[in-house]
Amino acid sequence: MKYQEFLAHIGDSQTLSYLGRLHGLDLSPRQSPARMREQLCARLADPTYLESYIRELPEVEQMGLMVTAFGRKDLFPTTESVHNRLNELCKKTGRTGGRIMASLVSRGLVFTSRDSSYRSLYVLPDEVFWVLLRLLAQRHAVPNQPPLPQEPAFGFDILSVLNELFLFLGWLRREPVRLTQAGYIYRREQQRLLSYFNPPEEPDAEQEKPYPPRLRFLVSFCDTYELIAPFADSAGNTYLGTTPEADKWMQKSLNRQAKEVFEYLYDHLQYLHGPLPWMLLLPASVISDKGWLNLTTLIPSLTEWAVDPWYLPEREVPQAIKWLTSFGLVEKAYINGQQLIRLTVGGKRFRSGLLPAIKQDTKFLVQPNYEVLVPQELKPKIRWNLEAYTDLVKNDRVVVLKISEQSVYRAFKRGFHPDEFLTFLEKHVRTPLPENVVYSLRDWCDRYGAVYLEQPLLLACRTPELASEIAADPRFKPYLRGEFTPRHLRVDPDRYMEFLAALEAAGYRPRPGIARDKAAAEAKGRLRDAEKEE
Amino acid sequence: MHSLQYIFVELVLVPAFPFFLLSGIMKDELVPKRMVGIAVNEKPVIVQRDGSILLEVGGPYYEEARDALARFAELVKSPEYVHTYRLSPLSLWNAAATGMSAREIEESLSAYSRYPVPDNILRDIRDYLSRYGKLKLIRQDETLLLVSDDPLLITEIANSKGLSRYIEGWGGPNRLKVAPAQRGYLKQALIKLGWPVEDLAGYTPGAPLAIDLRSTTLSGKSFALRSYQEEAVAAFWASGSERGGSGVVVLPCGAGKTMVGLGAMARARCHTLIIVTSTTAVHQWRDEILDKTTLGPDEVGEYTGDLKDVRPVTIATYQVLTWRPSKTENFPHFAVFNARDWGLIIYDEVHLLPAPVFRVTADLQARRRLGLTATLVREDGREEDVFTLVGPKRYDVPWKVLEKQGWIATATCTEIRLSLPQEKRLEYALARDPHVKYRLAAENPAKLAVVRELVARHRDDQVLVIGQYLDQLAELAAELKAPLITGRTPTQKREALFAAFREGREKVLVVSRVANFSIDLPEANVAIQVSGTFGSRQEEAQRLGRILRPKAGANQAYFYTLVTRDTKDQEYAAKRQLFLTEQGYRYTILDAAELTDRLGSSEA
Repeated sequence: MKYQEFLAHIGDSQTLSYLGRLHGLDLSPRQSPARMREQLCARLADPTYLESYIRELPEVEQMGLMVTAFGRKDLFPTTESVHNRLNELCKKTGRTGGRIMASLVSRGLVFTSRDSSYRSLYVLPDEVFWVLLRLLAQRHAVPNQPPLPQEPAFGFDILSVLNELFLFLGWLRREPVRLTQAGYIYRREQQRLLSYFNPPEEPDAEQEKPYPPRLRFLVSFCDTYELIAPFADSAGNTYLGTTPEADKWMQKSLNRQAKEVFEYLYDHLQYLHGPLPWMLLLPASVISDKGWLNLTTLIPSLTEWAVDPWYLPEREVPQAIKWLTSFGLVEKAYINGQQLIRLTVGGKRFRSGLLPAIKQDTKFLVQPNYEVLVPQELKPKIRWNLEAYTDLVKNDRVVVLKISEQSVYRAFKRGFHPDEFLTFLEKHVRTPLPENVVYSLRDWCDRYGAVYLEQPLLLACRTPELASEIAADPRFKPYLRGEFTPRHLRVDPDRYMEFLAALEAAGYRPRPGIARDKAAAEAKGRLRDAEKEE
Repeated sequence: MHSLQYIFVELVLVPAFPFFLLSGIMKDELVPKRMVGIAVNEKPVIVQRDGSILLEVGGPYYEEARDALARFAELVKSPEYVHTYRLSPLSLWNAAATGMSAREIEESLSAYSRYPVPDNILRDIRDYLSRYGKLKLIRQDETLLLVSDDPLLITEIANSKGLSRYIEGWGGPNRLKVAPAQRGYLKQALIKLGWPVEDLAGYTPGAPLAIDLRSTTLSGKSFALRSYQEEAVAAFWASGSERGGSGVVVLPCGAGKTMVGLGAMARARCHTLIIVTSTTAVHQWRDEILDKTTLGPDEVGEYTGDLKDVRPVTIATYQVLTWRPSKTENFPHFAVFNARDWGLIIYDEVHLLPAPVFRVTADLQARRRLGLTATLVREDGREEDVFTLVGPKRYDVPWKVLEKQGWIATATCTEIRLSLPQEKRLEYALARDPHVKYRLAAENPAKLAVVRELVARHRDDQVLVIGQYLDQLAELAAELKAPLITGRTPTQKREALFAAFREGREKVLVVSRVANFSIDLPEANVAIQVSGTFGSRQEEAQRLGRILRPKAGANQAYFYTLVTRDTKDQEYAAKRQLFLTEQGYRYTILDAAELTDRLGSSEA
């Protein structure tokens, strides 16, 4: 919230006039409060003025501001916690936390509020927060100098994140992964999957974090959008696989998907990890001239200002940095034993909250060695279809997939039609399909289904002559599909009821329905024969 | 003081920051001016995070990009539309050896790259190049010294347990003494640790030998090295400096690697040891040396199973060198390496360098070493050792480039698929051992008719029928009434038959694996492969190489490979073809039944 909104709650001209005098403004009480607020706001919202004003404050009051701004990693601190912390920090000065904060409130730098539990909080206007951020950054900035890399790394790229998402979904679709009893992907399977990430990740060693940052994000996103779901097999083992929603989601455009992923990532950064990663991005983002933020000196300051006993910057900041570097939002460096971070080019874009438009591609390349080169910008719908018939070889700026007999057969088994694949390839390749690839695909398509299981329905006749008689009868031709053995005729299973009725009408007396117990059916027959002979 | 009582509202901080444009914006200061302003999608290079580089062929900047990449990246494969290069420590160090800086390499990549070069690649380039030149091997008087300007590095090496056996102690500040015999091993060990050594210790010049290339051969033809052969020799020789003198030249089959060897000999002008794959190859080299250089017969010796004649130029076989009475004994013929003061050692078909010869090569680091091959692919994965011990790749050119320039024949590759006869299918289905299965499929009797048809079709050409299984080959030879050459064929008879083939008195030869390497039959323009060594890519390439020598007229060669469908034969054929497809060759696939339709009747 900006000063404008805070000051809007002050209707009293005297208070406004007092604040104005504090900040060098002669606000005549004869003016309307709105006019006074306007002038006051203009003065306080001026970052140059605010910064010089804050710099002039006594050290303890500057500390009070820092504790308020950075004492907790998420919400603004309670008044009590701030007072307690300042009391500890300012013992020697003789000033109490309450007095320090009272002074700040009277200067119009800090305001009070209540949270949903009606606890009293100290809150800061945005303008003050930003000035404090700049001061913090200045105190812990390190200029860019050799041997540190001159140029910021490129870093975060939404396409790479999307690409890993496609990889993840493709992986699960190809072969659902087994889950532990706790519902997590087994480490070994994670390792296999993560080795394809770019850069690769390692399964997290910590028990309470079953997945490393990027995988965790992907699982969370897919879960939220219902693209994946667990299921159990007949043995009771649980697997994680894709859902029909995934098929639908993959029909969306790349820009639409990028927007959803980007927004989710933005929120994920704030809510899953708390604003600490976000908070670290902020000072890093105000440092200019490709400079660095010194974490080695920052962490002790954050620790000093922490009001929440559960907030341990020395533990949580490295975790947050790990998250940020995993997504390429910041890059790390070391110099003279100090750990530094800097926003990457992609990190700056991400911080700005602006998403570049992506120009979709509709073509890929098939090589004579059966490799398919897929640009990351390939339309998701095409990519999804392609992944169904291919195996992943390499995940990189250009993804490399491979067509093989096994990969194509796997798709067939899942219900994809053989003829569709060649047509699909021919439609989307940038250059003509290599002849050997076409030939092999035709070969594989032809071989698919060369053998299959069948469950025939048979008319069992007591004698071969009887079977021949029925087979020759034109009345029964529509129902028969040929001879199975000399005594058995194959029957169209969809019309067997009609066939039985036709047999009955023709004077034969077929046993009704389908005999389940062949031996019993034949035994009764034999008994009748025996009786006949007698 | 006034406090504001209101419901807490979450703060959302959205400061305004410069919006950075789409991926594809280059860091302008790294992009040469001529490439600024070029549409991103016209740039032909894509740099992957794993160090591979894809180069799209056919665009307006392809050739420029190719020439730029060749300076610091290795060509890995070159199928039709996209070539693959690779950045590796060795390729970067080789670039450093030619004087390229990290910035120049980054500039080059950025100039042609469609997307931003991955950060880790830029880091690796800087990192690897920063290591080059930090360690040098120099010679001071007669002592070999490892020197560095970095005292920490040299101390680390001195104290390293794994390297201690190569070091003889300190030779001064930041200098370590190295035993001459350990020169190669030390370089190998340091490369493995990620530290390239600039070998400036020089070479033993070897005993001098006056040798020049003739401008008119003994057989009366005018002769000069082709342009790419000159380039290869120059790349190897490096004006005689320590920066050259060791390395591998990779040229397609039929491109005249022997001539590169002769060119190197003419530069080095010293006693030379040449190691080749077979006695026939020995004789071919000998003939070429006598035909095209000023050396006389008394200056060229053979060191083979039959003859042990060491001369100023001696040609030996790998087989004789690696022979020993039993597995526990030494290799008695390794003594040839010390028989003379060799100034140059040439390894023909260096991809076949046997493991024992690696060890000896490590001891020969003071001598110039040239490796020649068309296919630097080893099934044991020891390519790195070849580069370390023989030397880095000095010259490489895609097969298709030479084909386009007419230096090698244009080859049409056809795979003819045929079915296994019914009577063999059950036997095939029941066989468990894949080698047995392959043999059954490869020896498909139906191949006989196809071979006959193809030979009849090419009745005016010089045809090689090549296979793996002697029974099958014997049957083919009998059917075609053509001579058969196998490993059992005495050398004299082989050479007589090769001579008859060269002179056109024999139109068809049936050959086994003996014809895979180094057999010079320039007139052969048709090869019919009936079986091979399972999935060997190298063998396929070498066999194609038998017919790639340039021909008069249309300069066309035909390579047929007969494959039994739905069997191991087909499976292995797909693997075998990988190398050639990666060199840009396309295989047309025909059914045996289509043979007449597609290729025309043989009666026509």
